[in-house]
Amino acid sequence: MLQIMINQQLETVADARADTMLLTYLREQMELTGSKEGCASGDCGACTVVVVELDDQQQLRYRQINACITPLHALHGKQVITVEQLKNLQANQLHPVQQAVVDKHGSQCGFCTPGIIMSLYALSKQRQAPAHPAEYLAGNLCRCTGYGPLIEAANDVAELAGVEYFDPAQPDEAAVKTWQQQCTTLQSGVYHRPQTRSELTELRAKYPEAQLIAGGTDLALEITQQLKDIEQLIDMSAVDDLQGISETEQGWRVGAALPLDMFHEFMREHFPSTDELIERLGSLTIRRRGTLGGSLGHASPIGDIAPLLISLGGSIEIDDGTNRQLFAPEDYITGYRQTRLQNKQWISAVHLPRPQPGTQHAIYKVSKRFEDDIATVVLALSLRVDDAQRVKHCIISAGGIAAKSVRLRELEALLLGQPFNQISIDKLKAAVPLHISPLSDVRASAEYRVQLVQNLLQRFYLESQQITTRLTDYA
Amino acid sequence: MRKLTQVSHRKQSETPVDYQVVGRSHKHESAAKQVSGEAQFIDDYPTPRGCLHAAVVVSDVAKGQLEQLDLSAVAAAPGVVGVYTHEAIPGEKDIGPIFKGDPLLAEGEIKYHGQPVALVLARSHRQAWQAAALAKLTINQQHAHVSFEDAQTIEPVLAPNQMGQAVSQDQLATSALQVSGEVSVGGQEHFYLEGQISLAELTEDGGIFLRSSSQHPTEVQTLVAEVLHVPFSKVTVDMRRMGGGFGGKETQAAQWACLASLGAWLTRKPVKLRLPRAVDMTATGKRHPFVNRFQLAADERGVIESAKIEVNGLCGHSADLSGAIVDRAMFHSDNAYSLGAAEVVGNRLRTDMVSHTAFRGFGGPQGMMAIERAMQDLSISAGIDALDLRLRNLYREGRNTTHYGMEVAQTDTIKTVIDTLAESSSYRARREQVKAFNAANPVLKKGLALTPVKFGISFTATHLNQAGALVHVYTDGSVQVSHGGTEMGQGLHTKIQQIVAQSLGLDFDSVLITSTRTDKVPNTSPTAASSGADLNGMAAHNAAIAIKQRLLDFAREHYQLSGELDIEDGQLLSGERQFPWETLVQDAYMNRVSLSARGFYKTPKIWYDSAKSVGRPFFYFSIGAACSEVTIDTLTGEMVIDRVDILHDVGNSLNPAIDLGQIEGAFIQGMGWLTNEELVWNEQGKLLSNSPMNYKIPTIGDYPKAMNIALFDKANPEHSIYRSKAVGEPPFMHAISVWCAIYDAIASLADHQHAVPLNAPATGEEILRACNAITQAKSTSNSATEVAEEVDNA
Repeated sequence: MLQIMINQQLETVADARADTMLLTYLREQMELTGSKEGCASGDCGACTVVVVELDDQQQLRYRQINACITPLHALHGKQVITVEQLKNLQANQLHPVQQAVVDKHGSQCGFCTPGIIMSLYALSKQRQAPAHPAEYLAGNLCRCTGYGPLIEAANDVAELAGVEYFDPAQPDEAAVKTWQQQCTTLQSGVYHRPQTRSELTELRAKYPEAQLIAGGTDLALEITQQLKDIEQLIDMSAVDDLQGISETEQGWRVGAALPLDMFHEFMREHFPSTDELIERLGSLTIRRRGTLGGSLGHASPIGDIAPLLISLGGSIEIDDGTNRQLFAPEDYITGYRQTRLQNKQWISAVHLPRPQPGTQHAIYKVSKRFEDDIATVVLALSLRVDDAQRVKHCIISAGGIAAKSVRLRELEALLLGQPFNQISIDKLKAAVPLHISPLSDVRASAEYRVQLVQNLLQRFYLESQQITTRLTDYA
Repeated sequence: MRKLTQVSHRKQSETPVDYQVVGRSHKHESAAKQVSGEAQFIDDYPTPRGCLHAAVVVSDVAKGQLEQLDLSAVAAAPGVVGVYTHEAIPGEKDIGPIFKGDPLLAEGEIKYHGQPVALVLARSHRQAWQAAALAKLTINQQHAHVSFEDAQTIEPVLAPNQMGQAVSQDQLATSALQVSGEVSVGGQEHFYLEGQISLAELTEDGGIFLRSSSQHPTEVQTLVAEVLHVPFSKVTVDMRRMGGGFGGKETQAAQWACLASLGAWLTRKPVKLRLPRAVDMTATGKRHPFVNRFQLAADERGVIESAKIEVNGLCGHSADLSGAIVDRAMFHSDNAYSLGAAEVVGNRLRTDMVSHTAFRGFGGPQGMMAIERAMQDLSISAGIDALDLRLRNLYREGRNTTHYGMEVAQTDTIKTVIDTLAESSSYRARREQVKAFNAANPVLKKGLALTPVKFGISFTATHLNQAGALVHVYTDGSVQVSHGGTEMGQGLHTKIQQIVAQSLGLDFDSVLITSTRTDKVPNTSPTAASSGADLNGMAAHNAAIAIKQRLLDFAREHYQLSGELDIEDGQLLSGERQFPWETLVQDAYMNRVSLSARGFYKTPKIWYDSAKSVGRPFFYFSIGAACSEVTIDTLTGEMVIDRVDILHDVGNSLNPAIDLGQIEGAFIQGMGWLTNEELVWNEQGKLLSNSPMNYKIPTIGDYPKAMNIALFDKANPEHSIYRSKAVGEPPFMHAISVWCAIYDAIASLADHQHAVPLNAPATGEEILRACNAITQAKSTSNSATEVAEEVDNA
């Protein structure tokens, strides 16, 4: 039976549909209407709540999520804290996080406010304050305040992180922990949460029509935006084989169910050139739920992960429970939202080779809005030169310029063996229009995309010459 | 990473010593409720017993004739209780607010993509919208007029008009300098966080009790009554708060209110209609896109001698508020500058799209963009810094009459505000730093601009400048106020609470503001045009002082007092004697003194002769200036805002914290309008930017790297409420400084020798396009120079 602790109350849910979202349940069944629906697509953050769950060290961790696109069943055995929990009703006293927002005049119309509060609450519960507290609000749109007061409030709230204090919203952490440790795995006829590879294999055979879900940040939109009914879901996020990061001979194997925020931490350490791209992949709230496998499973033509993997020489591991196969990302994705994934198969991991010394790597994303926006163009380059400064290794990959993410081998060929200088780059730029034919759409015209590819190649060269080209670089 | 490090020093103005309550930074009256989730929006109220949920079937083409409408699958879908078309409407089928042309449900002619065609009622919200998607529409599709060029070929929604005297080409040609150009200015999606919503219930009197997220409850009341063909008295609208409005709920909340009411009327059950975000973005109007043309003629110093400006509003399929919106664009096409002999023409073009509507600034920002682009161009022709050009052309002694014949009273204030800001923002020194940066950086270029705002305050439709309020004092001394304005986050209720407390001599917490209801204060104007506090605050003040005067008169007689009497801090003061407010109130009640009053206010001095296009449409002008510095990436068109300084005149601030919040919020919203927020329609008239996934309002990461906002503290010379000034819309236009700074950065690519063909919004693509154009212009003129030199040498 589905069991969720909502605030301090243990809820046992008997008959929820697989596609019931947490927000619907909170607002319509629990009459907890503090969390709002602003977009039902995870873009505005008005529905933000905090999920409390055990981490690897059996410690409770607090992470903000979008209730509008999180399936209720995905929260089995976890605690959800909503805005209603924060104020001490007996004492009529606001939580310090709430008081910070009031003190800074951080609410105007108030519709986004509960979501803001919960993102800030998650911030206050971190074990150490992040370098940029306002990042916790990157997934919360506010149309009234202009954000200044909220940045100030976030800076104040960050001072609570890592500090021992009595949190009236979570009076008995030990009890929550004990309950979570004792909670049995989910038994449901509609929402299946396998723990092992073999369980997953059996379930796929038993429910061939069931859709796979991990974080659900993309799949849920079919339910909340296209209003599709989905009867059966198989949740990949607890399968042991899809967890964590392990070292391999060549590099690392990254489990497909790893949430993007944790992937970000790993990548920041081992591939610092990818830091900005991953930070701009959705908002922090989305990265808390979204996974590598989910992103690749949907093979979005503008997905940022595929060009990233191509440029790093990574590969995608496909599993059917018996055989594992590795594909280069550019071969795995066959067309517009089309992949080589067969029925009964799933993405189990991503493999990343260790970076080779002397490699220059960059991945650039241009989007209309800097944060939490789908790319107009993503361009990635990986390049090594020999002692004579001639290009001996080159990968150029791109998103946003074709029906799928692509590796631009024709351009690579033009550079290989050539000296890495402005003349070669000019030749490369001149060849770009011959090899790509992007579309015009809501984000940009085809002409702009062509010029972006040309100019991002230029940027790569200028950066290698230590010329400041990035708005993010200069102080 | 591009990250926020710190928010600037935010200067609050000195608290005026004159008042105890007004002028202080009280917290928003709902702040504690908002942060705790206790503040209720319409979708949060417990659903009434038997409540049905509504959805609409919408047209999937922009223009055509509806030949067949097959609703059988809709009616048969799970949970569906009823499906209705325009035939079910008992009364008026057209809900145009001023002019006809807005069918509640399409009657055959399809006028825009997303137009409601049928109303679906079901047991749940999800069932209703799932069912609505099953409708089969057969539409004989016709050509949709979407572009500016196309719109010029068809009948406009309203006739054009002209302000000022005709200016001939010969007249322009007599001046030493001439510039001319065209600037396209994009529209804007409101993106209020709470989408459109209404909840209607039938009353026992055969009327409707309605909750509607609306800036204009009175108009909703009257339209619902007309649609149902019942007297206005049988419809009551209750509006506690909106989750944002920004103009998008001025006229365009009515359609959803009327449909919910129609559903309740037909089924005798409560009906709730809430638009999903994508439907809201598709089926409701936006800020008008404009295409503006200008010709300026100036002397060799850049002082403007004559001007010809044409503003073209793309209105959508119907008039809605476009008459007044284009008027306001025309009224503001001078911004703060004396244009000399000026001719301003306004066109209201029809496009086959949703009817565009009010949005913060109401056409003013679009009109202002015409003159500010022209000023940038002229500064290049005149070869002087754009700030110097602006200073030379400000309204001033001897040149203080607008093109519609109104005198600008505070010309000194405009000058002082700009000078003060130029000083505090170190404009001159930073101009030199920007030059040095640009000389040293081949890819990144900086731009700097300081632009003024002069914005007229009052509804230009004079009759709307009236307001009512109702103040009750209860026998325990507590005070309840209802007024005609609506709360959408702007802090109106907080300000009125302060005003009533101040005017009665009580503390802030003694006063409670309740929801806006058409049965408490009737025949109200919309909460719009920045007028909420000016109008309703004065009405509430008038009610409060009427009660206070009654109480003072009573006290003088009853307690046998002489000399000066006043109420302060909840005490009646008479020389040495003091009487607690509660005692005074109870004694007055026992002696049959009325403790309730209705207040009324109408704005004085304003008039406008629309036949002659002259008058004083505005009670006063709101004034301010902003200085922005940006950096652009000339390889990609990406842009960051490095620093913003704003100095804004709110008269004597009613509440400095709330006013600063309005300024900051308006600026960021305006920044979004002029940078990232791009509405995209395809050639068939379908809106492609129809969700937050592809229409990007600013996030916290877009906040400028440094931001300094200050209030210019000077009493309103006009007798406004506590000598304050309106604040809702004017600071929106401070964002024009960002756009002008982008212009300035691009112009640096050609050493400020060529005008930049920059449009709005200045997205990355638009910036790169303009960079390409300016680089091209530079190389063309360089080769022309080379040719000329070769000729000379020969």
